[in-house]
Amino acid sequence: MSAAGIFIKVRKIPHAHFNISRRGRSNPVKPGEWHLVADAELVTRAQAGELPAFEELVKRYQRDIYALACRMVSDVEEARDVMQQALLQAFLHIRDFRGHSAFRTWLFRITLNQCYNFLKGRRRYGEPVDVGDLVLEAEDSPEADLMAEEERARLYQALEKLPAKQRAVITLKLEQNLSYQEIAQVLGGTAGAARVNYCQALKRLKKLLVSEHEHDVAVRPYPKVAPRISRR
Amino acid sequence: MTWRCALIQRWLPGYLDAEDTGIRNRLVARHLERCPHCRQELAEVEAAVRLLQAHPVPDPGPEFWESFQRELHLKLAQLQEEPQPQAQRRHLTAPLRMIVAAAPLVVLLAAVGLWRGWGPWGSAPQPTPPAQTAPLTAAPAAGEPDSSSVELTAYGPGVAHPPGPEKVLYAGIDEGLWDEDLVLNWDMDPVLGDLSPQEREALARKLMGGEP
Ligand SMILES: [Zn+2]
Repeated sequence: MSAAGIFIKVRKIPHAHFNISRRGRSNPVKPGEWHLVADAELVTRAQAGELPAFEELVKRYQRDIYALACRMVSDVEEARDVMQQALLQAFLHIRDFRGHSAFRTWLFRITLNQCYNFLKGRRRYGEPVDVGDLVLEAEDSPEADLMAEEERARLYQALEKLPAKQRAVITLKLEQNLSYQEIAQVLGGTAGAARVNYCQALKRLKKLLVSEHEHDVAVRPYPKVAPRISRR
Repeated sequence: MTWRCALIQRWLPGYLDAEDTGIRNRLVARHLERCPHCRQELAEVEAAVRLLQAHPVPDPGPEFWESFQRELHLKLAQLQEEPQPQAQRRHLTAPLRMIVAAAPLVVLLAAVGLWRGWGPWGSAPQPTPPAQTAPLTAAPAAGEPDSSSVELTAYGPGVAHPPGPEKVLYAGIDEGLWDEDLVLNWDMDPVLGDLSPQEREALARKLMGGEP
């Protein structure tokens, strides 16, 4: 019957993957030379179960993932956990990666999924957000410019008020330099929709920054800048 | 502020972006030449971009990365060595699912056979041709387990495996996280996407006959 036919098909398929695995093992990479291997080959090797290949990919993109996670969860410790979870997920799912997008883009997608899980939990348990964490971490120079610190605090507060998806879009576009097409690969939708959402997100961030600034100015005795007509 | 300004200001973030070119940008540029409001808006958007880029997430330093990689390595090695109970379960369930999927077909064939007075497995001069019915009914049901079996059987012993390709689709989209956060839908019409209800109303008024 047809079920038997399917069975035969299922049993035949593994050999194709074992071939990849054998090919991977036939050309061993010397310990110090992983950085010379291209992403595509690292992915193939990682898919064949070569842990060092996957770890090289981690080294390549860990800083980007960390930066994205920090922007999303606004907490360095949580960002570390999110990043670890994301990379473990990536390792578990590496055979699902088909190369339809860049590997880095694929990692961003998984990272944002982990951020989502984290944010969902935070919302459920109503944990407060401590943006001061990231601001303080940044103070590596002892006489950090007070103005710069104020600016940074203002930025982090505004980012925190931004909806999660808008934060993601802004980070992907302005910090990770993804194209609209790549943003669409991460968050779904079309490149056109990604563009519209980026514009909305940036406008909203700008608005939040201006209102934070106006709030700061309002505390002082002199008047505000020219009033703007609200568009929302 | 005019309607044109509202529209132009919606395009300003894209105008700043190198990826954006074309007629829209030329419209924006022409408008900016004569509109101080929009120039002010553009300056503020530019300032926001500058502020963000001036304060990247600080790198946590080499010690952080060393300890992170060490910890990750242990977890990865552990994952690689762990037996995969889920894989075994799915190996078993894939054929089972096919049998379940084929069951209604068998029942249907049996019913048709009985109704026509044939035994379910008997050969008849003109029964519903099984070669045609089988793929039609069984193919869609068998298609999904088939592809997942391809994934699952690909994993050698001791190698971690994923539950399936759909698991890591778009970030959070299945659970509606992002929509909850956003006032607007991600896939809304690109032009009307970021209009407020009042703006949309005003636009409709304008389209239907002159602005007040
Ligand atoms: Zn204008």
